[in-house]
Amino acid sequence: MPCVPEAAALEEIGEGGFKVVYRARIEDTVEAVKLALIPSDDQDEEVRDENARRIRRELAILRDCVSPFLVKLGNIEPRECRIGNRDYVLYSEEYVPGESLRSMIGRGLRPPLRDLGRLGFCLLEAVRELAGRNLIHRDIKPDNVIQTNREDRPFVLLDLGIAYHVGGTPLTRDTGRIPGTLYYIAPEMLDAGFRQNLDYRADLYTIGLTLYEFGSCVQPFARREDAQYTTLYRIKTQNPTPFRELRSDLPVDFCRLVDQLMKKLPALRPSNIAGLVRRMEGFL
Amino acid sequence: MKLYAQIGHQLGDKVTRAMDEGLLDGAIFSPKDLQPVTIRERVAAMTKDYPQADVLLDPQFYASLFADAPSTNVGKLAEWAYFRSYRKSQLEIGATVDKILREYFEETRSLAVTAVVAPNIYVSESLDSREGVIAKNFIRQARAIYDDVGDDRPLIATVAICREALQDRREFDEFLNDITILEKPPDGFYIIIGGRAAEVPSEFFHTDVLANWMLLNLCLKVNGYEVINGYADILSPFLGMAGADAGATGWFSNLRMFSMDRFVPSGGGRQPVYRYLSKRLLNRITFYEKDAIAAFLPDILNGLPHDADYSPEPDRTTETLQSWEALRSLMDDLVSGDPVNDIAECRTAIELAEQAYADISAYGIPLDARSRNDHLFPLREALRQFEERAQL
Repeated sequence: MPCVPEAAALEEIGEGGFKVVYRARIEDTVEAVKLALIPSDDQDEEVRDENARRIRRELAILRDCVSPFLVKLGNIEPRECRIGNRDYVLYSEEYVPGESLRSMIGRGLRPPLRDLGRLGFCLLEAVRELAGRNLIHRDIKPDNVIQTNREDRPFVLLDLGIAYHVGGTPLTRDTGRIPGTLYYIAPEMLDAGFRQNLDYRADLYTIGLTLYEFGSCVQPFARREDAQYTTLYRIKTQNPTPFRELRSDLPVDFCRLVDQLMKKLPALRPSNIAGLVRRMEGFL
Repeated sequence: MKLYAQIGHQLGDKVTRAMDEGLLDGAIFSPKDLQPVTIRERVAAMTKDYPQADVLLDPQFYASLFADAPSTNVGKLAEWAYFRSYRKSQLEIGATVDKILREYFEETRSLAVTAVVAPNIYVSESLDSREGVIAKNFIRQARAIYDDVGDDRPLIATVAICREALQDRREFDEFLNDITILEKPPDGFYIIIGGRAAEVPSEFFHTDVLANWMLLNLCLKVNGYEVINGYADILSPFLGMAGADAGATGWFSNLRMFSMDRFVPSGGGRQPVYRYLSKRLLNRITFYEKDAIAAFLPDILNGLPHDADYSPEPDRTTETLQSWEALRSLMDDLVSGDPVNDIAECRTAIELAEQAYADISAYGIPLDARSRNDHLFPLREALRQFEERAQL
């Protein structure tokens, strides 16, 4: 448990990857306090410092983001701390009350077109802002999206922990590891040397995938019994069942758009985010 | 889908007759073949007489890397100020590319074209090469320079690449990804795929080349661009199925399929025999073959008005009009704007052609080498490959 003097009632609410998340009261608000591990290398002290700088730099970029559909940084300014023999960056984000899409999928809901359109709109607006700042989220998935009860920000995208800064340097030097969540890795990230070519269309792919799963309760690439390699092969080569076959009650144009966003080849995904936002607005 | 005339020399009145008959939607002029003053007059006349027509100029700047070779004939291109010979090392410098674009846009600003096609080089080898980088720089820089010049007509970027460049899937995919995410995009693309010789249909009827040419069209269309295919000829409806807005073709073989041989002096030779474009065969057969086959298989006739020009014999103009008429009709039959539906229509058209060729063979009718069915297998395989790659 970290020592955070400005936080009261610290309670762990999540853990994963390089991060631990606590809910805490800070001044008069409830916030999510986060501990982000600073990847280091025993053989090279400069690696730790470089990575710490990068985490802080990317948090600084996030602080400038104005999209209401992206989680906001909280009152704790990023600072470094050591717990055990590991170094972390400690900071806080707003705590977004609501229900995650993952939880809603677990309940087997079949959301109406309006909710799907709003979800697409919110995620595209969030990605538009990130792309404008040369950031790729890389971890858009139902677990990282909260549906709120607010009309002005019905869906909020969380967790920019593995956001990729185009033109930056990699956070980890483990070249064998693909950052992201297995079932939500964009196909192009499976190519050798993907960092040379990665762009925001990887986020458009995961927006499509999130819409698909939220709308149908089907994750097209997940098979519980499969080895990781098999899943990756499926992501790279297998076409998902057309969305229309799972939601024949939705307009054909909407279903086609979801399918188009999930194309394997980035060039086959419509890249004009403003145009995509307008198309989503047409479904509201 | 629109059909354009790819204009070369010996223009005559073919294009105006085809426009009057509603066979064409526009034309693409080539500065190599006509005097600048003639082009200016013709372009102005066409936009005045046919206000709905799309009238374009292909800058043919792709000849610039070869223009200093003794064997190259750039024709009347040399009379345009924007055109001269360049080396790759010069074009690797961004400022040179900007200067060429600016000079071209300024020189053609007074030309009455309906959209401006930007210059580019011809990628004669790999897309992952110096030429590939230069070509992408022309595409990336065109919009900024164009806006600076202050022209408000649509801007069409040129992609001119050799067929071999379409055969390396990794390089081609990277190229596709690059040109579909431009910071300052043009309004459309003018695509030219070149073979080693325009006379050899098998140069173009290669599965990978056709499939990736289709994929190029689809990717650009998905991303909101207008897509025009120069020198597409009989492939036009198949590219239309993949999303193309227009295809172009002319009257000589080097205006139907592109090759840099277009800039090599012609060796002369006999006039080619008159040919008839059969929708059923998806190919041109000779005037004599047409009559021989139709006696047994009347379905190889299109049943369109210009069929009458072949009784007893067409001339060069009516032969061209017949081609445009057949192509126009094929486009109407095969291209509806729904790729999934259109791919099925294209597949059916190929199957019917295969059946017709099987019947011709069964009747023992011999065919000229260029009249045979060599195009059908690669076309069918290309459709399958395209469908797979595009996840249709």
